[in-house]
Amino acid sequence: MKKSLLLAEDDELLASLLNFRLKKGGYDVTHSGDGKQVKEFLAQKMPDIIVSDIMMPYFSGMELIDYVRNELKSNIPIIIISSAGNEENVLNAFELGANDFISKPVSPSELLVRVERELNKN
Amino acid sequence: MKPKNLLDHLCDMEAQLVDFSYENFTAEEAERVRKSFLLFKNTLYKTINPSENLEHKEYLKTSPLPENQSGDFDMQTYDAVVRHYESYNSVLKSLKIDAPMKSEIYSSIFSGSTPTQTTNRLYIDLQPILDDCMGEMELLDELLHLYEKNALEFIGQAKIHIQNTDYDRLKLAAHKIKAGLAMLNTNDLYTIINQIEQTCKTDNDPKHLQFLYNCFVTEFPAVQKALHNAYEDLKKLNQ
Repeated sequence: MKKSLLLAEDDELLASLLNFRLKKGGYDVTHSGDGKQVKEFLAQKMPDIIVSDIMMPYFSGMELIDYVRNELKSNIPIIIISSAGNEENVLNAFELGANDFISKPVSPSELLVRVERELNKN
Repeated sequence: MKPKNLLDHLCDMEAQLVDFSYENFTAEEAERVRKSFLLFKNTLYKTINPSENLEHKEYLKTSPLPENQSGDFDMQTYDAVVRHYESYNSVLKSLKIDAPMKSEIYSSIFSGSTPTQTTNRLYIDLQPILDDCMGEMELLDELLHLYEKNALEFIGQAKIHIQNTDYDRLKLAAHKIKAGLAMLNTNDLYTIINQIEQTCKTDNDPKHLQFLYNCFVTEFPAVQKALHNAYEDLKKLNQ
């Protein structure tokens, strides 16, 4: 059975590429670039793993981690996508409960390896 | 014949026209140059077309080309380019503007060499991103369209944010486009965007930000053209 993955990324360019590669990699991908939609989706269905950008409109990657860990009480793996130079945000994300991070520009192959690794840990 | 060289130079000229028409021309002057350029371009395309032109043939019989310029080009093309180069430059001269198409460029078209002005011709390697797309040209095409859309959106948004001295939004807009620029190896634009973002984080100098914004707007058409060329090259390779 395919593992489900939520891709929260508002950059359409990056999201198109990642969506394509993750689907090719065998994942059932749900993509949203809107923080509100992400929140609604998570309230209804918890995916096997989340890949999220830090800076998103309405609902940031930080808020997403906090929401998943503290409100939904879920330990599913969360991989954060961060821009270079955002090290402080990455540290905050780890403190809030992110499992891993990957820097932009994202290598789809590297992301696939990281996703697989996180899923295997669980 | 080297139609690719001709068309490359045509693109360079077009990019330059777009550039200085904003900076130095009145609307009327810009229109005159554009019309002149379009006439030049259309005639060039017609000339490259394989249909025979008897008048040209007769002319070439009586006016052979110099030995060192003969190369492997088409004589009709040479003749047309020279004539239209002259008429194009005469329009520019009447407007008291230095001709962007220097004689070394058109002579280089036929010798097959690269003129000094285009030695720094922008080259973008799209092969890595095509590899990321697993060789899917359609996806690469989609990504290039998204890139263009994002860049144009940024140009529009940034202009408003600079006018409104809203540097937080300008920083956010710059941040959002940054990853896409890096992804497509458009390093020149990436560097400018990075500087815009950094300036927004530090001193918010409006003159510097306006300067950087102008640099982005000026550079964008050349990058766009380079991306298009890179895409076409890959398409040919993958056919």
